[in-house]
Amino acid sequence: MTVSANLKRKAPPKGGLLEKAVLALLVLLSATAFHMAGDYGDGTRSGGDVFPRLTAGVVFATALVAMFHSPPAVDAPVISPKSLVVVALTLAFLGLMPSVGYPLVAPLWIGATMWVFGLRSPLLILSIAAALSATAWTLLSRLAFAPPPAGLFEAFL
Amino acid sequence: MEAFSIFQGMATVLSDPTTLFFVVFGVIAGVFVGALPGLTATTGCALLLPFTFGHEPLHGLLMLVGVFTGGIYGGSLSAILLRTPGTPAAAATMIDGFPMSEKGEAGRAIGLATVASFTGGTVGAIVMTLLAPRLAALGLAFGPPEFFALTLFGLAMIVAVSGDSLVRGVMAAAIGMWISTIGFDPIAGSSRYTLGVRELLGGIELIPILVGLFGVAQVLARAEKLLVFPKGPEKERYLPRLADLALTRWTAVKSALIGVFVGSVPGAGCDIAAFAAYSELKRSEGANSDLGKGNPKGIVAPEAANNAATTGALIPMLSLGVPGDAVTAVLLGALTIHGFEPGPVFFASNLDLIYALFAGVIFAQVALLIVGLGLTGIFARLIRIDQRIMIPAILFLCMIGSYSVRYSLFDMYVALIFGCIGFLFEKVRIPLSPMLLGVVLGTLSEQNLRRSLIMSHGELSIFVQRPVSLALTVGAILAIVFMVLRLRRSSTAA
Repeated sequence: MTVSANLKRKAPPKGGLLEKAVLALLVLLSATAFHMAGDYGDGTRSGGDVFPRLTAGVVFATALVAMFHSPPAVDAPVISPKSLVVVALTLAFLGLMPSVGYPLVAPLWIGATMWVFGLRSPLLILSIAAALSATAWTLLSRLAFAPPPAGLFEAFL
Repeated sequence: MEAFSIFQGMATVLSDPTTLFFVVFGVIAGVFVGALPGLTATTGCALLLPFTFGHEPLHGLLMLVGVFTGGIYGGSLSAILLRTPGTPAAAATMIDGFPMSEKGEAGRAIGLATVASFTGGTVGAIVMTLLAPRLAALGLAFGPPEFFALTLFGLAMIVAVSGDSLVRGVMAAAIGMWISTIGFDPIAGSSRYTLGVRELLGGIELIPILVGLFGVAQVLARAEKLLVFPKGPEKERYLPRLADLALTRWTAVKSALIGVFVGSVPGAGCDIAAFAAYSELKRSEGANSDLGKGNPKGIVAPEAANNAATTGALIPMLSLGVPGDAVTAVLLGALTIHGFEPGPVFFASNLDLIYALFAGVIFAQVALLIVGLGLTGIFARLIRIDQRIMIPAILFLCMIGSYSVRYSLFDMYVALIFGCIGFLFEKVRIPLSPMLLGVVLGTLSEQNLRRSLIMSHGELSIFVQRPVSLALTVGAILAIVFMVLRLRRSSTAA
């Protein structure tokens, strides 16, 4: 076996890094939660800090063990850009809804998501996006009397 | 007295067209969601849970029971037609179902699966109706230590069977329980981990968590790999043959009993029930059987068992307030949302609702049979809908479902965040079911732990001094020990 092949085999897979990063984040978060729980106690063994400390402590310990003692994943998982784009689009949808308004943002978001998933027929995208968002708007405003924020369209609806 | 209550419950259900509508709607929705590969009965219940608000508890609960029943059956359609189990519970059905489909007998296979599911569900519902009241009566004698031990036992069981790593299973359950501590302290009333965010004072709502973990996370996973399905035949009859039914009748009954027993063990779930019944069939058929090559019994055994397990899982949920699996955790959440505190006291004080629920579960099986035999052709076409349209539509439903809980954008953000968490956790092999169970059981567990400690002045020995809590604690430890041994054995074999 050549040296380069050996090096290639020993290089940590990208998925391994993702796993370590998630576990490290859990260690950090649980340590913070454990520390914060100290403020919720009343000095007894049945105070409000007991359960949060217990659960945060278990997360901390198990995440540490998993970081150092778990076998690596067989298929190194990585996150595809498509998933990230879907998350970004959804964040944009939620962020813009209060100011721009659901009537415009929702069909745009649904349409954009279909585009990301690979649908390329503008007519189909337009009709499905409009039908879905209009149905949900009607149900929420007529049955629940709680439509999503209308933003710029507040005066018209 | 009990028989009278059951008849009364049956009359309540059958005399109200709205109730019947909710059950049938739930079954149809469940079959559709279950048949779509990647979406499980849990996803279906999570998506429909917000729409139970504003309706009577019985209607909402029966709709979810319908989704559960239909969802587990629906998984078999894609297992037989597409060689892709719609739910994990249908993986065993695929072994003989797809070979039958390849032989041009898909209709016969689906007809058998439908009747087997009906048989399994009905046998399970009868066992549930007989057993649950007795278990609830036993549970009335439980105090805080027993309830804490019981939640611990439920969590230990689900951790033991939910993945290939004990450490990650325990981690997931603990994360879920930690999430349940956000908001008001259930005993002292002070706020915890709210970071000044007003919306967190009442804790994180269950529905956005569910929708995120089981809906949004699946959408993100599908963004990476869309499924493409083969075209099916234009016309097919989905009815079983009488000779097949006669041949498989005992297999159906035996598998149903296995299913209801396995399903009633907290944590075991429908997929384990299906494989347990299939293994038993394999053992009884002997080495020379044609199992795996399109044997009708190979479809009947797992299908009868997994649908019997749905009712089996309802037994500990209704009588003791401990969910049997992820779907019953959602149902438990639904009960809480409708203002009930599940457990033996709830059981004893709401007998009318309980017996109507039992009757509804039996009716759900009849609805499943009718829907399965009558509408399978439509479902077979629907599951081939373009995923590029279906998946974004599901994401939209997830967001709208989360919004409809409190009509708050905050809950939509929560669903998205939990979607990302679920997606990442699946990638790094942290199982989601123990996490969900941790969230659902967290508050109950904390209340009973602290009440026990108040009773014993802080002494932990209270959990081993009482026989039931001692037995449950030992059971929890044994479940974990068995899992460690199983993992050791499989790693040695590898």
